[in-house]
Amino acid sequence: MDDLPIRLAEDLDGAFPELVEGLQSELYSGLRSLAGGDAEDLAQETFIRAYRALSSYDTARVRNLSLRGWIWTIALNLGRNHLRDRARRPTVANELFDVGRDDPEPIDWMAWEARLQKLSLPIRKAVVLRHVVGLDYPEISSVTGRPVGTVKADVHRGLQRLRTIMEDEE
Amino acid sequence: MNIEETLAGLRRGAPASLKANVELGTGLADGVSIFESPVGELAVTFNPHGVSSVSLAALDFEDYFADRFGRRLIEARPPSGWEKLINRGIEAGNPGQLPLDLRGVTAFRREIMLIATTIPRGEVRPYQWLARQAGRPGAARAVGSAMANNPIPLIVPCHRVVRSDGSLGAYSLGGADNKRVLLAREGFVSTEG
Repeated sequence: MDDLPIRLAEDLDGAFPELVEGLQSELYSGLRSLAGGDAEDLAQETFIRAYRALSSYDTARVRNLSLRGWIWTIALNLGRNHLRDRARRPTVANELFDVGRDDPEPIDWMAWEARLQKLSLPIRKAVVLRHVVGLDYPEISSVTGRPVGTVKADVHRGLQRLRTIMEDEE
Repeated sequence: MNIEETLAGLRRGAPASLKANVELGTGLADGVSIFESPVGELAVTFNPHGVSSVSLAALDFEDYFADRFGRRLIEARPPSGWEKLINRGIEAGNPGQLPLDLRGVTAFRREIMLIATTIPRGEVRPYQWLARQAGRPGAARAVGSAMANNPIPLIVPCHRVVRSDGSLGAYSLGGADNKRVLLAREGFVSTEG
């Protein structure tokens, strides 16, 4: 991934599938924790917008991109109109893909999605980006537009709140 | 497991359809779907720009497509509404409202394809006629080669373009026999032996 921005600048079409492969797992998982069932649609739309943006940027800008933070900025800015755009595109014949069912589920996703939904949106974003996605604090600060100190406090408060929620369940 | 580790465990693989849909949505890959036609099953390919090619499904269209366009093919559904337009285009021998992806086609060949779409169903025109319409009366041979390389036969009706002596000439979608079948179906009877 380290030299991917350089390769994207040199050969966007050749290198873009690598960007998708490198980031799809964290993007999908993070969006699923934030937005639930729309995660695949949102992740797809994020990558397509990223591709269009990269096509329009000059090479110096592409070379200097910090890809993970940049992708998450796009993802968190998506509006609801992406569903309308989707009808205008070809889509895989779904019967060819056994969507997500091969994965074992060691963790009760539904329960965790429900717990995360109990956090306010800024706090949920901070917790998910830090602990599900694995961004560092400066990256989260840049993606959410909140100061690093605030993000740290949000994550701390979020984790405490989750502990309380779990204790209440017992 | 503490709460941080549990949250990290929420990370898992994305569904396989995600990357395929991204490739289709960006146009890095084209979708392909099979359609019925009077000359047999057709492999119709498409991307966000439009329909990019039509070929006989019985042939090795995947190799043909990779050689000609250099993109990957994924079995897919066309964008909403296009399926009806594709079926209508095959039936009418005309694209109608169906968007066509002609990015890889030269300006001259594109113009010839456009002129071919003006030939009414049930009628034919010689190569020479298209050359004249394009303002290049001497370019009948170039018209022939534009038609032979038409990436979207049947929907762009190059089967209605014939030789000036009335003989049918070649046809890229499975040869002259298919050309005869299509024209007969449209009510045009060839005088060719």
